[in-house]
Amino acid sequence: MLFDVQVAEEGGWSVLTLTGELDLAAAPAVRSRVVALTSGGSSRLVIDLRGVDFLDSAGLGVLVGARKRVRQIDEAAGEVRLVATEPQVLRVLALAGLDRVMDVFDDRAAALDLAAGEVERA
Amino acid sequence: MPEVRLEIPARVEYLALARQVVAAAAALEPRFRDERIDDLRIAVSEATTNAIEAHADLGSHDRIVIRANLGDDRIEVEVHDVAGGFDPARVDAAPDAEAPDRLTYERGLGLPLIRTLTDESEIAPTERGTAVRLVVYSTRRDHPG
Repeated sequence: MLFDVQVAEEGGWSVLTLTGELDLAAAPAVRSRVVALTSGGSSRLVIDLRGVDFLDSAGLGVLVGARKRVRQIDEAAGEVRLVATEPQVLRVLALAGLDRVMDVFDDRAAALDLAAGEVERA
Repeated sequence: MPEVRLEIPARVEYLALARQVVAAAAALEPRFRDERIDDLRIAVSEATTNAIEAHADLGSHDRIVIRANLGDDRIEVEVHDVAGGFDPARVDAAPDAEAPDRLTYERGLGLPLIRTLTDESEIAPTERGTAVRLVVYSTRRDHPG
């Protein structure tokens, strides 16, 4: 049950693909990748959470932090998009109200603007 | 009422174990629906995360004790840390999801989640630390907040 973060550049977005349980144990690995990306000038991030089967407040904190950092380097165009399909993850995003301020997609291609189909926001 | 007792080092590597043990204990009672077990899993993760962070802040090497008591229609979990006192009134909890400055908070998201996901929750000082008590019923009770 090792947590994994993969980073790729795709269609003008920096895409972080996370696998495993995003809790306090996993948060530092994601945070350090986000800091490295934003320090390198990336202000458009897609965080793919489809492989995440558990999310709690430590994980939410990382997502909120990512949004804050991209806005710091590019207030106008800085953006974090999430891709999520796991019910537990979607539920925690909704309970925390993150789905109201960040775009959540059920499809990675849609998040990358490669196809239409944004998930309707709550 | 059978009790399951788990004692873990105050390290993040043990968070997943704490969640698994408590969720497995709740799953022994067939009346618990998956959604309620998920609620419990998150609440236990939050309480144990707070305990681990409290121990880290204090440099404490004591262990965290988690007790789960399974009843017919409810499970009660206690997470005990030994990291000195904790005053919930002084916690810098994040504001409501509707508040405009809500998303500047990277921490403090845990206690609101605990309150939302459990039917009862209580944070109380103990002789050497703090006990967080979480109660989840097999069917969600209507409760304020």
